[in-house]
Amino acid sequence: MDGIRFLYDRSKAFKKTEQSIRGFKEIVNSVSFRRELGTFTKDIVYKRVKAGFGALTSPYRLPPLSAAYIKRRRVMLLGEGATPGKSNLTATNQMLGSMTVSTKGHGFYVYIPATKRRGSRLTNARLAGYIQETRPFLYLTDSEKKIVKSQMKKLIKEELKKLLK
Amino acid sequence: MAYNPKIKIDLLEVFNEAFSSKPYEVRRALRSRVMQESFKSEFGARMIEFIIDRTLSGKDKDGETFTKYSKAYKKSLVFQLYKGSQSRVDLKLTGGMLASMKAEYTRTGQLITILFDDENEATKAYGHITGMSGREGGVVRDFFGITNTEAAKILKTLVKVSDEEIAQSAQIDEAVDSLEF
Repeated sequence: MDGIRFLYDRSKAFKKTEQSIRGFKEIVNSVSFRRELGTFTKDIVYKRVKAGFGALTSPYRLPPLSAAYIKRRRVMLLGEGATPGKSNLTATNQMLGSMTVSTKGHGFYVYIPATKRRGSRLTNARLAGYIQETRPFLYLTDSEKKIVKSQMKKLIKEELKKLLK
Repeated sequence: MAYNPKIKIDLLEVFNEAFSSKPYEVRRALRSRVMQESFKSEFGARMIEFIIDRTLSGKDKDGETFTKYSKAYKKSLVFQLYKGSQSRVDLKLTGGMLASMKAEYTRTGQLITILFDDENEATKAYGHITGMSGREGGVVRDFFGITNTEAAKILKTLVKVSDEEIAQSAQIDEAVDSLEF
């Protein structure tokens, strides 16, 4: 299944930090911390795609829609953030709207679940899989990874301050 | 060749500005402490934090309020998605440019350099600093700078922080930086 996995329990440096800083392990392994970071990551992807950009190593503008498809979209009931001519992987908003954060295991996982789509045999996960082949979007760019890591450092330091008061 | 804006801070110049009134013995002890690698790392991080906080408050490096965003830009879908109805100019759309600032130093050297760790974000920053950004067309919003006096104030605060706390912060940064997605 496609998605953004951020698993941090295998890093040697992380284990060393867990052992030397009191409270560190408790913070980074807490579900609330991982959920907050996962939701932050999901938001980055959601806004980028809605703005019309995909991602691999850097953001790129999603390819334009075909003229025939734009014509079809003019009579479709479009979802939030969709306009007939805008290429932002949004028609009904079911796929992007279903993006989910899981905190099972260590770290977090942002993915599109295999939920049913209205009036279609395809699941949201299957559709996302097809789209990923030609319009990769469910990744983080190098710059976005830095944003997530920077947020992670900030959250850990804030929580540690509270914990060690 | 891509242009990466840089700020070079001479740690000993800043040190002299911060502690010139202290007795020689105190200065000698402090000096050996601030030249430690973990101290330089934390000092660099705090200078970056200072630049980010000032930028997010809507002020440029001279303390002036940033030029307003154009009407067309505020009406754009991208702006609506990221900023909604917010009108304050803080140079933070995705947050990538500000998050990509990093501090470089050598183990024994006295120079700390703040620069951008990503080519795209460096180009974006260059556009803001010089006004050569395509999107806003000629508007200078120079957020990238810190004076020796501002750095000296940070240094004075930092010397009151325990070595243990400084080492802890450096350890967290190192651990998070080593993680892979």
